Amino acid sequence: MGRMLRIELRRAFYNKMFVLAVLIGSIFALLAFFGTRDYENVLSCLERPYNNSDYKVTVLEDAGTALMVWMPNKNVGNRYYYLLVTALPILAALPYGTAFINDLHSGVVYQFLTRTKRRNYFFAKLLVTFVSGGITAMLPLVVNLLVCMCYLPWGTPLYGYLRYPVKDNMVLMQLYYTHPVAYVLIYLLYTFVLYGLINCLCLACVYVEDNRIAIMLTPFILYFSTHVLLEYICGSSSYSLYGNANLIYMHKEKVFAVLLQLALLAAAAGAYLRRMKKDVVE
Amino acid sequence: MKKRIRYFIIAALAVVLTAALIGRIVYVNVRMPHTSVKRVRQTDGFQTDCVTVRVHDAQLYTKEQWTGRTAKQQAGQPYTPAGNSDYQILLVNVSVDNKMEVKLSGFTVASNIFMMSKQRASSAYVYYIDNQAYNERSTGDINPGESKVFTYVFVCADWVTDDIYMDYYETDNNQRMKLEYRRVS
Repeated sequence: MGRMLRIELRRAFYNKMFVLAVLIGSIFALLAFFGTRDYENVLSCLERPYNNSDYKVTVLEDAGTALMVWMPNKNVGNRYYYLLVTALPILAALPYGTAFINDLHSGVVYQFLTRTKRRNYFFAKLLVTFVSGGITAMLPLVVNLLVCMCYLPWGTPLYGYLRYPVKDNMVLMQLYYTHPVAYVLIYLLYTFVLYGLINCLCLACVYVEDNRIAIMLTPFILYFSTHVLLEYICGSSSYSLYGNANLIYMHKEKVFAVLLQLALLAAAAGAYLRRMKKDVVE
Repeated sequence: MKKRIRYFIIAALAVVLTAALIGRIVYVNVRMPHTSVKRVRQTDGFQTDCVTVRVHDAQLYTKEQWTGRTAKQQAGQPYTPAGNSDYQILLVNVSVDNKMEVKLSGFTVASNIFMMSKQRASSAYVYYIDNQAYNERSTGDINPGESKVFTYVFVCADWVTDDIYMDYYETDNNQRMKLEYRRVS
């Protein structure tokens, strides 16, 4: 199992599509900071004390933290973050989403199955698809946070400062204002799990789809269509995974709906494993 | 050989970029004002958070600059805190639901420490919330040693009077102040 995992991880991360996905994500992450007013605001904070001695004191009014300009804080207010969150299922599927169908088409799958247990191959495929999707989705957020930290110091967010969006009825609010590092780690973990599971849909749909492009797009189509359908059926799309992809804006009453959807995604991913009991891989 | 050179170049680039990134982050964290919160559980059962805000050197007026600014105001320029900020926000608390008892220490203040409501924080005027209702007055002052109960606290030091400016400048050269508060059950 370990050897199989190593092989698959190497295939997932040592490939041009992974570099491309990370590059696209990073461009969004950089634009989310440099292409918006955040950068101008931060620059004005930095430059004003030296350019205009009259207003030196003013600067402290804007003395925020890196977390304040981190792109998830702006949510849909930051168009690049908005675009990124919309496109993330496609980006996450780019490096490894079609690996299994590629193996099937090229016949490599039989090479593996004669050399290792079926269980090892299928589990490794599932695990690596999950990890690959999660990491591809998580990296732009980390890049953006690092860029923000290059311009504003790290610090404890202050509730009364109004620049932070986490309010009383939002998930993990206390943690946000007391242990921001722990909060950011949980945020990244949530993103990792969410997009990792969404990426696993590529495996689940491989038995009903045969086209690589269609397989790569399936997670995005499901992710986005659920959002739209919820709007039409329930009158509110705020319970969709797309609507709750940003933990910062997740309301407490939506936690159950999100967990339920994550469980459904996990079940769909698990359904893929049922196929390993079949004699013929198809 | 070519492969080895390529790896070496990539590794060197990675090291340089990582060092630059870490250097920049450290520099920003050392140079810029930022807050830190230290939570202490006291023997009386109350929890105290000591919030420290470090003030950037360059953001302090020198006496000459301050005098010049005061002269400008006297010449008819309106006092508009929202636009020009004649006061300096030193720190903001972390209150969420509970009311708090606030005590200021760490530097000498005159009477111009104000409480600002979270709703009006962006308007940058002096407000405070006292028992859930904010008042548009600057009477939310607390003096050193005094304490009051507030729902939301936004502490600002007013630099309009020379007193505070001089006190702060002369007595607290390491530019730190401390706010202690404890939650009221």
